[in-house]
Amino acid sequence: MKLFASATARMEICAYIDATGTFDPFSAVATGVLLSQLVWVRCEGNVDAALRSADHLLQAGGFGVVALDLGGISIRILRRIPSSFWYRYRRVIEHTPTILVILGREIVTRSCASLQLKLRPEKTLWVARGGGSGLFRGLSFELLRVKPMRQGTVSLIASPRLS
Amino acid sequence: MYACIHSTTVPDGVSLKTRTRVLLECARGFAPTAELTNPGTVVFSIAGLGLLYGPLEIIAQIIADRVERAGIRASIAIAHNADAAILIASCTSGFEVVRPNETAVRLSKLDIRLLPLSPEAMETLVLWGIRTLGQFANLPEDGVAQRLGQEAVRWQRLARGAVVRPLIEVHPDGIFIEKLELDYPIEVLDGLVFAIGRILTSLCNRLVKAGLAADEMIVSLGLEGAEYQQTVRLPLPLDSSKPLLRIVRFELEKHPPQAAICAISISLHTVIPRRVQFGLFIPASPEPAKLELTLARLRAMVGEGNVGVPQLIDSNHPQPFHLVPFSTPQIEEIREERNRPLVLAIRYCTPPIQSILIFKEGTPERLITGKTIRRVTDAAGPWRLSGDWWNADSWDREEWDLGLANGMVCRVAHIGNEWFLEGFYD
Repeated sequence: MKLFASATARMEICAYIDATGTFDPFSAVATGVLLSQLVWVRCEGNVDAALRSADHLLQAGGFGVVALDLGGISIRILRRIPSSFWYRYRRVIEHTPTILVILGREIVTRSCASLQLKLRPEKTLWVARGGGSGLFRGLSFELLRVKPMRQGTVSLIASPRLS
Repeated sequence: MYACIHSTTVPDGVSLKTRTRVLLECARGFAPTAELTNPGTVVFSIAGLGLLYGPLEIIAQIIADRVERAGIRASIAIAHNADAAILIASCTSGFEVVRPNETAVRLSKLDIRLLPLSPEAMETLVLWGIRTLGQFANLPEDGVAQRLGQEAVRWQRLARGAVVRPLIEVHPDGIFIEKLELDYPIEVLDGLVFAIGRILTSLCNRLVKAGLAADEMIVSLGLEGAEYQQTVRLPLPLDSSKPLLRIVRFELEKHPPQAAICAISISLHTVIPRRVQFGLFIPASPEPAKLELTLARLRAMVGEGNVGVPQLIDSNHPQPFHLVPFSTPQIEEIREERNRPLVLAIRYCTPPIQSILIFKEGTPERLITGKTIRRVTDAAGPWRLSGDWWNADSWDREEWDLGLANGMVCRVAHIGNEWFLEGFYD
């Protein structure tokens, strides 16, 4: 979302391909994303449609960031996506300023990605309250750079938006 | 120099509207802007046409030929200002070229009734014995101003051929229509698209000549015993037939006609094309025609309501947003993104997953989703929400944020008598 926020602030048009309908525009606005610059494509669980949508958007050109969110897709299906898709995407954008971000439960792009990051939840932050119920204050993540490989991790803390 | 095409008679079978459209199209074949002075009179600048066609007489002849080919009988006048050309064209036949030094002499012989005078002023002038523009032009300007008012001074300058003004650009009625009656019914999509392509090419040529673009297209097909109509709204106005044809093809593939096609009619709603001023430091964006085509492809693939721009609704509803069709955003000032703190996004489960939440002493203990049982380690809630109780879309729910034993945090909602897993914080 931070990537979208900075791209839309530069008045770039971005696209979010939502394979399973997980996107929350309210959280995006809280992060600073300018929604008028964002094309949202909902694929209702159809992975094939999501992959083809990404292809069409990349072929159209001119987008700042295109995100393909496969986070709600099971690992078994993700592993069955042919590598030819990732090579094709790479070829389309390699001499353009467009950034393609692929989100998933595991890294599926194999050698095609120039940057691979792994985000692991580290701990949840709760504030204890009387009566057994607490207040959710945020999540801390461990960010690991897989490619190009770098030793060590970075810790990030994110808080929920206020309704 | 200006040329005026003036047509007083409407040929049989041609409506006044059609005649006006044809006259404007003829004018726009020579100049980018044309003024429609009245439904039968069009005036436009011919500056620079001399380099292309030669002397003024030849230009007048070419204009006359073009008007004749369009099936309209009209007189054409060329003069050094628009009003002189209009006045001369209204009282000549064929074509006439009046050079700047001859304008005053030529106008002086014209009838005074050609001037757009008020009835009172006309009556006064007739009483004074003024019959021609020359007689009116020779009257002392101060006296005319005193007796007939300031407006009469402008009329007098018109009579002398001395008014120089910019043309008032007009746009046609906003709809371009073309129809095609087929000799034999078409049953195959490729054949239909080919025929539509021909119509769209002609329509887009007219659009380009008029300096316009289409923001809405209505495809009407005459079927054997039925009618078929499809309206396509284009967020980005287009004037090229290629993307329009592709969009029509997507629509026809999505909603195929149920019988053979006997007639085709396409109408384009015209608007002034959107001009965007780009700058060196403004990032490139997708080409409008390409983007529109891509969005049409995506709509055909994932459904009409699944492609667009998210828009927030001013409501306390748990999902306060909807999708609206994409339109090119106005380029605002590029701003620096502030260093905001990281915000947790919620990843919705679409549709929400029906679950069972087991409580122990008023606190959630286990969450059962399908065959998975998860232990709840932390919980925040309940957050009770309701709204829209005054209409049919009322909602009433109770939300909990649950920390699960596997380290994930999810949101569950109690709606009616059931629990739903709404999403995960990520």
